[in-house]
Amino acid sequence: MARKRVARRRVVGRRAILAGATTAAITIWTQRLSAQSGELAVGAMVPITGPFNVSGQQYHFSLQMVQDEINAKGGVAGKKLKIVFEDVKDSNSVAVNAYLKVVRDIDPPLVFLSSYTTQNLATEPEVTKAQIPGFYAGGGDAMHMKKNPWLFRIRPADGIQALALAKHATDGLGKKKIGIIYVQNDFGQPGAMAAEKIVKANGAEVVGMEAYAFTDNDMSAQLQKLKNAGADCLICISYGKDGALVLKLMKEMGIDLPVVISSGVMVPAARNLIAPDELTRVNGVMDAYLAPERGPDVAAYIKTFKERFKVDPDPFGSCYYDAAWIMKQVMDKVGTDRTKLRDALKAVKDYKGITNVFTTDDLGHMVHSLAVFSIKPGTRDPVFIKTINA
Amino acid sequence: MQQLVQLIVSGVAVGAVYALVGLAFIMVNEATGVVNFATGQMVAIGCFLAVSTSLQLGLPLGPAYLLALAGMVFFGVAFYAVVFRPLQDRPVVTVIIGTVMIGIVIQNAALLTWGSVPFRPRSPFGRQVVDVFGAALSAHALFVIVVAFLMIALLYFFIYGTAIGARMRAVAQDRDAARLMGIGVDRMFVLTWIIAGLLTGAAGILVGPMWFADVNMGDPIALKAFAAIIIGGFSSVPGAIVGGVLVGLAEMLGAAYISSAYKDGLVFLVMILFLLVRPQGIFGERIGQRA
Repeated sequence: MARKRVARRRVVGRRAILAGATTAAITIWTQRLSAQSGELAVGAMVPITGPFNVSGQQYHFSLQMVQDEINAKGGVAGKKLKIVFEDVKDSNSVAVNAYLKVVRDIDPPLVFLSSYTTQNLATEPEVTKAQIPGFYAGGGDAMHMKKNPWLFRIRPADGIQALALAKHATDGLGKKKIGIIYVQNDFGQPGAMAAEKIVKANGAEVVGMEAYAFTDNDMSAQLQKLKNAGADCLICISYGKDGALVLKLMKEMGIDLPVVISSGVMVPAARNLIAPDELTRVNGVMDAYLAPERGPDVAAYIKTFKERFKVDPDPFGSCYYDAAWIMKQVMDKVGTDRTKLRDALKAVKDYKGITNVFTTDDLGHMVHSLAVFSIKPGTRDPVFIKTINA
Repeated sequence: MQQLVQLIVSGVAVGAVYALVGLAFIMVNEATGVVNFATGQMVAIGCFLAVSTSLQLGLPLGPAYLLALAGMVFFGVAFYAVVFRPLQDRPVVTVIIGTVMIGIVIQNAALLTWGSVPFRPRSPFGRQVVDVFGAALSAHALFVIVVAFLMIALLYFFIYGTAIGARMRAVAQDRDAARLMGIGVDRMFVLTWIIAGLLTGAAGILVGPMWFADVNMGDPIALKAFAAIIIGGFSSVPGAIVGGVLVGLAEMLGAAYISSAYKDGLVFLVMILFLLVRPQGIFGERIGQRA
């Protein structure tokens, strides 16, 4: 019996050694393969599946497109660019594991992180340990409060969005009784609170604040309460589908109030869900004004994107396109040493991208403004009104 | 008064959908002893089949809905053949895990098939609004209430008023005894999965024009429907109806008169209270009391 146990232990031991050796060999082989083939591999944490995939798909498409364009122009730092995509779904733990996997497998000089704040908050300690520069698009203020020197935000922070929504409702539209409806999560709740402060500071009154869950499909009770509270304008802090539902319900319920709505609803995929007459009194903010009239570069980008992926690009994904070109610019200049790369990213100033002008500040913000739009009557087309700066 | 009417109609419409989905849970659980955790994904598939037939193929809504429901019949049979039948003699936990896994597969297959961008399905009533006591009510919401309760009535008649229904109940009560009595147990199982497919498919078709169609729409609906049948009684058709309507009304009235931030918390608090105080629900019977 004892001999059997010893023998079994030996077998297990051999198996464990074999498995360990195989894993190590595969890991080393994978890294060498990447190096030997003259490729420069960087990681991308993309919500390809799950509830976040509407914006994840745009992020995915943008990086696929930029990879090909950069390689057509000679690659990065003399090597062919290879973006290794990992699906982070809608889970923080999946995002952390994906990050660890990409760091282990390809040892990248830079990683494109998730477009969602909660996932990035979960991954942030690993970024600090790995000391690899990362671009991220999540807007939550909790992220830049970390003051992580390795992280760079490539779209406006949610605080700027709240400022723009509140300023436009009060200063822009001249409204005095504001109702706020918001999605109850790390995006909507802080945004609503920030907007409330700015509305009050501008001398207007917040007559009500109503929340709904991300998965809710009927907000009629909340809208009815805000109407009954005497609101003369609503601020809606939402994502795409839920914001579209709010506008649809308002029309059905006969609530005819102007709405200033957050950027998720202004992207093409969400606007297409809304009937033109439901958009009549809607103003909104967007990270960027992605329209051909902004210039030939933007026009060419929109055309190429649409031809290749059969959908219009949106600013949430397109900011990663800009980030990849910034990455190429700094890597061509300083190489792939992570510290030098980080310092070069900190020094980015007035880089004119497709979505915005990028200048890095002390907290790692690279974008400091967003655009306000109305809707052309009878259509779903946004009409640029103005830019609001932080 | 207007506000109250509006909220009650919205709550009952939402609750009717929960009742349909809750009945799909009950049908499968009663016949097979399994809680089908892919029920939410079946709702999404029903909705997207209607999207394909009405928006992508451009069929008129009547034939489009019938074709989508036919698709759900096929889906129910396929679910039985691919998931339930191979696993039916395994422990219940294995089958339940199987439904969870297949739910994930269905969700991702839907993502690959229809993409991540939501659709806005058409309603037979367009965006028509009806005035009731001064409250503006969506005609589609009223349509949902009528169709859902009509379906529930038909199901009730089928189960309690027909010979096939009696056989299904016999299988639910004692599978082996039913087999000894000459009832085709496997055929009853297939029928159960078909009915589950039809109920979830109808729920998906009905909610699409109200809430839009996206591949992740199923889980929140299934979760609320699950709460509804726990409150109403896990083995009871009237329980599913009452539970569904209670959950729908609790959502709407809770958000309007208590707190929108805690309305889901209220629903699940009620569910937990039922589990603690009356685990059989309003209409359910204790396991020990069952035939």
